[in-house]
Amino acid sequence: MKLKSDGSLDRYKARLVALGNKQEYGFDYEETFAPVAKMTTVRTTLAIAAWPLYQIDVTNAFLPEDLKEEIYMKLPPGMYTTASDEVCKLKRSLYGLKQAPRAWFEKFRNTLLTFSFTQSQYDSSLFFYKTTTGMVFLLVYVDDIILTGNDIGLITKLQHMLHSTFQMKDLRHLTYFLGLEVHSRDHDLFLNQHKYIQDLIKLAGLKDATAVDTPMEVNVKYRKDEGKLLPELFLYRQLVGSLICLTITRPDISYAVHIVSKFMQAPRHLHFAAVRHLIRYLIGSPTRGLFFPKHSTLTLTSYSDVDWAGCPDTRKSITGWCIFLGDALIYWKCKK
Amino acid sequence: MSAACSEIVWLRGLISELRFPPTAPAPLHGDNTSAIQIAVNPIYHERTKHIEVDCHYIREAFTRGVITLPHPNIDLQIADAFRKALTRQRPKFLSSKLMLLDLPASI
Repeated sequence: MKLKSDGSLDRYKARLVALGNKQEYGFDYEETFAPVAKMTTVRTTLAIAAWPLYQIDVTNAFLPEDLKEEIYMKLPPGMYTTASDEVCKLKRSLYGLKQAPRAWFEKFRNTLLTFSFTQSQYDSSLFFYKTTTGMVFLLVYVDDIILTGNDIGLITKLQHMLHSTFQMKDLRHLTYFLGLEVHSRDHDLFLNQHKYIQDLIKLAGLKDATAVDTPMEVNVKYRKDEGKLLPELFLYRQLVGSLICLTITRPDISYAVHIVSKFMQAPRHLHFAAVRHLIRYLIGSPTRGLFFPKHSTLTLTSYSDVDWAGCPDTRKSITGWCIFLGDALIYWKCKK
Repeated sequence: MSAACSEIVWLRGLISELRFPPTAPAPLHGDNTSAIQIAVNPIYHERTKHIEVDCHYIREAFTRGVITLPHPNIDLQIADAFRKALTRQRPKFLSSKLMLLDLPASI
């Protein structure tokens, strides 16, 4: 089932997935790395581009790729042959195969390069195209593609070119990308993850909890071996994993997430209490997100700060820094 | 500071590759006065034994005009938020600085 950003039903999907975990390295696959866009690049592009933003959906991205390796798989259920031990040979790549994303990106890249796009040296999933009349940027995150530019004619032309190679749905205004909700008006942009936060609160079972004002208890140092071990390891890791995703639009929780993710290995009750506190903070501000004003200048300003030997376990310092492009916050990091 | 500096170098590359006009030096606000002075002043400091790649990197970026190193007001040290727990009043201030807003009804 595929859901829209407001939670309503989009369409039903059925998919044949190959068991990639049964593949052996060197035999069934070689290279599997496929680049995806860095979140900083996404934010920078959105902050720079004061033009209409579009997104393209590719239907069944992984399917039209030709496989280099020779792979056989068992017949899918529902298909029968006379001999019971027959297998089928794969001609095209399938979901679940380890090399599928790489094959897809490679093909997409080659197609774009034949359209005389240039691949960025700084982030290999960013492509741009420039003529005397204007320019077009294209950002690829597997099969989610953001397209923006100041030349509408060029964008339509590009859309036709892509249509000739890939099966894809029509261009539409960017509203929902990788769980990010993009709200735009007069080129002012606002990014948040409202639906994601709601799902997270539900997952944590804190739907009826009261909100708190701070992401974390002030003046509490969390140590790695304090208190009893937590039995629900899986839930802790799942929640913290989701919180890490949430830092894409929430710099305010990034320090707290940094702290709780240190204990992923062996979480204890105290650490879980910190996670619950953080989620209760989110209850109080579910629609908060980043605002990118238009007509922002292109100067970078950055701030860095260090906490001298702030980690009680390792005596290492914690560095925090953030970079603004004009008024828009595009990069921040908290690092031990 | 050095890590932030390398991100600045990367971002400058990205932005100029997108063919936007080259930007002015990016101010990097750190709050360690002695670190700033060591970076700005190329004279050999007798007492700074453990100068490493980091320091030389910042010094080079500074002389090439990639960054400047002003000293900020402590209250305006925005990066604070990324290295310690926020108190009740701070988030409000920082939220407005970080352009971190609740979804306005108008958009």
